[in-house]
Formats: sequence, structure tokens, C-alpha cells
Amino acid sequence: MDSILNYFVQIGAGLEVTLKVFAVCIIFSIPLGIVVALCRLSKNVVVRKIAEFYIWALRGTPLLLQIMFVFFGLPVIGISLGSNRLMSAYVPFVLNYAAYFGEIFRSGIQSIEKGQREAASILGFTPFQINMKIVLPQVFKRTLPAVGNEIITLVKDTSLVYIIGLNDILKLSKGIANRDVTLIPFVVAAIMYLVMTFVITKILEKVEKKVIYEE
Amino acid sequence: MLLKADGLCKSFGGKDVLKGVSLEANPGEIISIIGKSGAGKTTVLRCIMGLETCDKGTILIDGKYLCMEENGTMVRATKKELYEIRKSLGMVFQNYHLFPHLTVLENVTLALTEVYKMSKEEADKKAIKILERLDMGDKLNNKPFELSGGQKQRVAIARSCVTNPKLLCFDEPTAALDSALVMDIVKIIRDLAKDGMGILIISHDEKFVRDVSDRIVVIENGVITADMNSEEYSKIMRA
Repeated sequence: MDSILNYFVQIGAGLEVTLKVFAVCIIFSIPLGIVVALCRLSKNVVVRKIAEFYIWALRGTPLLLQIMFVFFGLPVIGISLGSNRLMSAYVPFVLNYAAYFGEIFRSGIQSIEKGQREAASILGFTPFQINMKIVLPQVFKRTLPAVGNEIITLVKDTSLVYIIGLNDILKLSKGIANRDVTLIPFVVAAIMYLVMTFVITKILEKVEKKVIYEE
Repeated sequence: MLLKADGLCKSFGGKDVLKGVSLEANPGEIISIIGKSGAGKTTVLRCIMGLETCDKGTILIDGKYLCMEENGTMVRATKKELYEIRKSLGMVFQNYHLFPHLTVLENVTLALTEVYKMSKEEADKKAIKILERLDMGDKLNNKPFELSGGQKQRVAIARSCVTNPKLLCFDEPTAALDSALVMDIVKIIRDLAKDGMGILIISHDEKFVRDVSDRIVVIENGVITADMNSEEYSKIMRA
């Protein structure tokens, strides 16, 4: 029993990396995703095409490859994000998830009926005010289940940072499993991921209940 | 004169929907545009509201040009001018298009606080006064999905009236209402006109049009074929 608790303590040290990558990604990728969605729907062809290319490139290649590209590839061409490995994880995570969120928000924006925009424009709202006060609050509600799915996927995706040597939950459990020749550390890691996704699911359920209204 | 539309033409995909429609409206006047589906009623209204751009013709609203023909080319209001013109306009849509994430009160006050930069207290006071006048004073904190069709329409009317438009347009206002509620809407529209608001209505409902209108304009295949007062219309209806 003591050894299992020990495993929890040792592997729990990896929570810091996991939670940091998770939090930074959520904080930056959701607003960036809104920007991507608005660019994707822009009337300006250049802006729209850039957004389309961005989404295509980021969704069309594995996140693992993007992490490797930022960490190993960018320094080769003279771009360095410093010695902080976490930064090399934050950048691809934020960019990758912003592409996914961008497409989710785009579908949400397009689902708002044209009549609401027309009603608002006759009332004198500017396009910016229409987006901020009328469209986006509804998009938030309509896309919450899809955004929730992405958030839960993100918890698990954080384990990809092992590739650049960051000590997250999975990397620590793998090291301990090799050292002690046992599978229990993997069970401990699984429990930790399950607890995290459970907590997030409950939070999302509460948020969904709070913003609920029929249309 | 509140509205002067002259020679409006509009086509969609090569099909001429409006073929030279002219229309005038004065303050306090209630005008109904009637006609079959596809005759061009809604397109006239959308052009006047600036939701569609007409291909030809002139629209003058409260002394400001929305569009005009000059030497054969169309000159349209700039975005800034359109913004100013829309301060004189209000529209109640057929499907109301209330903002579902906001309460009744917020639906009505949002334009006052965001567009007209009124304080929340002042906006609430003004909105509550109008909502109470429309018998919606007890539904201030309800969301649109909790309202009946008639109640939604009252909120849509309050939302449109709260900015004091000079010309208020209704697109099929009785389409989703039962006969008792139709009488209510007749009274509401007449009260608004008494305040000096010009009212433009699009409707299929012949009885409603006869009861509410000062003038009735008939549109067929994109052309106005009759312009009469309600007595003349009643005679035609009886004949």
C-alpha cells in the first residue's frame, strides 16, 4: 500500500508540467481560436486564405510532429525559444488547438441565423458589437459540447511533451515502471488522468447548465 | 415626408423582383403593402431598411439619401451615413429574431447601452416603460424561449421602438398570431402611429390590413398596381 502511495507522490510531481501545458493551452488557444474563426469568415480573401492554410497545416499534421518541429527544427533555422523546454511545448499546443477551436467556433458563428445580425444592424450595432454582444455569447453556448471534447482530449495530449524530455505524468510513470519492473505506475498515471478528466467533465456540465437556454 | 422611394428596381440572379416601385410615407401614417408571395413585398421593405441594395432608384428617409441615381449611376450611403439613417428606422421581423441568450429587458436595453451609450439605469427605465405599455412588465427577466408568440412579438416591438425610430416596419406581423392577438397588435400599431411614428406593414392578412391601415398599396410582379385608402379597400373587399 505504501509503495502505491509512493508512486502517487513520485508521479504526482509530473502534474506540474501536465497542468501548466494544459492551462497555458486553454488560456491562449481559445481566444486565438476565435480570431482564427473570424479570419476564416472574413470577407477579405487574403485573410481568409491565410486562415484556411493555417487550419489545414495545423490540423493536417500530428501534434507530436509539431512539437518536434518547434523544439528540434526551429533552432536549426536560427529560431530559438530559449532554453525553456516548456515554451517549446506551449507554442505548438496553442497553435494546434487554436486551429481546432477555430473550426469549432466557425461552425458556431455560422449557425447563428442571419436575421439576428440583421435585427442588430437595424438597431445600429456595428459588426464588431454584433459579434461581441450577440453572436459570440451564443457561439460559446452552442459550441460548448464540442469545446468540452477538445478540452478533455487536451488533458490526454499533454502526455506528448515526453518527446522533448519534459517530466509529465506519463514520462515519470514510464521511468518508474522501468526502474521497478512493474505496471502499477501506469495504473497510477491512468487514475490521475481519469480524475482530471472527471473534474473537467463535471465543471463543463456545470457551465453548460448555467448557460442553458432554448432557442 | 418621412419616406420617399422612387423607381426601385431589384433583381436576383437575373430575375426582376422589383420593376420600378415608388412609395411615400408620412409621419403618423400606417401603410400596408399587400400582394401574393413572391410579388416583391419583402424586397421593398429590405431595400428601405438597407438590408438589400437596390439596382436602380432613389430612397430618401427622413431627409437622408439611402441611395440615389445620379447621371445613370447609383450613389449609395456610406457606412457612416447608413448608421445615421438607421437611427430613424425600426423593424419587427416575421420571426422576431430576438436575442435568445438575453432576457426580455436586456433584449430591449442592449441597443440603448451599446449603441446610444445610455447608462444602464436610464436604459432600464426607458425599456421598462415601453414594456409595461405593451403589457410585458411582468416578463422582464424571462428569456425569449419562455414566451408565447404574441409575447415575443411585443418584445420585438419594444426593442424596435425603444430607440425612437421615425419609421417602423412590420414584416407579416400577424403570421403567427391568433385572432384575439391580432386585435391587440392593431391597437398597438395604432397607438404607435398616434405618437407620430410612420408605420409600414407587409401582410397577407386582408382583414388585419383593412383594420389597421390608413393606406393600402398592392404590389404584383414587382409593380405597384393600386394605392388606396382603407375605405376604398373595404369596398373592393366587399365587392
